[in-house]
Amino acid sequence: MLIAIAFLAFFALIVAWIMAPSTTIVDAPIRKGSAPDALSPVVQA
Amino acid sequence: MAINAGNTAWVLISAALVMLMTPALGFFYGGLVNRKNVLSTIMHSFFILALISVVWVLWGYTLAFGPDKGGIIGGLDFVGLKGIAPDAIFSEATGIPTYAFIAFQMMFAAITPALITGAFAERKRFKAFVVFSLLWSTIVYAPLAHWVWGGGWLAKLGALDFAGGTVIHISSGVAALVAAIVLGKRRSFGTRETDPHDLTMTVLGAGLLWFGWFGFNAGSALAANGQAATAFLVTNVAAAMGALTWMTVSWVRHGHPSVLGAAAGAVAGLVGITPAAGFVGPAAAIVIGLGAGVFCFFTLDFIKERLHIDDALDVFAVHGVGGIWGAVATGLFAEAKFGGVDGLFFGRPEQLWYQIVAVAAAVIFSAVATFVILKAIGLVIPLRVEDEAEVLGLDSTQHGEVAYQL
Repeated sequence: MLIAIAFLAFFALIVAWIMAPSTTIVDAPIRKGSAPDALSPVVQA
Repeated sequence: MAINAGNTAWVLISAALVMLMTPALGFFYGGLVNRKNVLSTIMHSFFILALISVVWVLWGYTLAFGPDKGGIIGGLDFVGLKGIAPDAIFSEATGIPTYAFIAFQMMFAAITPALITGAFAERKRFKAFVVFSLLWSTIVYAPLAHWVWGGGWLAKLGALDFAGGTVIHISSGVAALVAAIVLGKRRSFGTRETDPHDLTMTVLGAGLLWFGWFGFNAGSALAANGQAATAFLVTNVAAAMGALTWMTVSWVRHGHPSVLGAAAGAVAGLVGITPAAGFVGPAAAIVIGLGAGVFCFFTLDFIKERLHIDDALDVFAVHGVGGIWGAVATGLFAEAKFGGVDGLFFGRPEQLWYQIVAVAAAVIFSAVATFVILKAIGLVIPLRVEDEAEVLGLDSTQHGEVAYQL
């Protein structure tokens, strides 16, 4: 019985991972002063 | 039979040492990527440690070590570890509890898919990575572990793999190469943007991997005995020789004694000695470490410079080729006084043939299964992040966090 509950609990997590929304670009916390290298003129140079 | 306290203590400590290797791998890989992707790279290893720990209890262990079904897979008798008593003995020879063996093997199962993550770093969608790790561990790792260690057909054939050259390194290295090809290159491939962002982190990771590898190899004796001591010693010797060799080749070829070369060489040496650790002596370990340093270095050059395959963190060159070399070297240098089996150079050429069969089986099985898994996932979930997300970095776009607020 406990094993069945453990399976259910784990499968519930897997379903949640698959159904979870993907992070969008708009949500991304790009803060001033921590710009990614790809956008950095120092790296571009 | 009573539990052997000394052997049990050693296997449990070894399990803890191997556990440390997975986050250590995260640091090793994390230092090698751009700073906008360091968290996502570390998260790959950290998440897998948690994921596979649960999978192993629920169905991984029984598929790998359950009662043999035709030499291919373990039966479902131990699903959820049912029916295994805490004081059950795994083997009369060592007197360790089955739970200690399960815990030890759990750490091996965890680090194997984590090794693959180096190939698709900086571009794989986290959701696709989660599903891939789950499926790969079940469909590739568990059967392969059964073939070699669980009484499957390679074990019956007589193939040797002391601590995972075939099961862990060849399987993950080949899977990494396939993943790199299927996912395609990073947008930044071939530019300075792919340079390591923090090699101190990488060297720290390599040091922790080296430390944990004593549990990986010496713990695989499943006893605190002479074979464990041999495995411990040859592990250190091969790592040292791998580091010295790679650094030297890099120095001659590129004009600098590379720090990254020393770290990568140590890992290559550790991979090379893994299948051989309980079967060869210290002199053979020097040769194995040397071979690992040379073969892995030149494979890396060939994969990136000639084939232009973006195996981002060189998983195939180090783990695939290092594992193949180690498996073959076991067939060459195995000596009965260490592990009870002779190889080619000690009058038993058939061992080399068994090793080659095991290598071929692992390469073909891992390549085909990994390709099918990735293509199947790709039908449902995009494997890569969007181009814009790749430019901004996976830390912010996949995880909503950044590593450094500088």
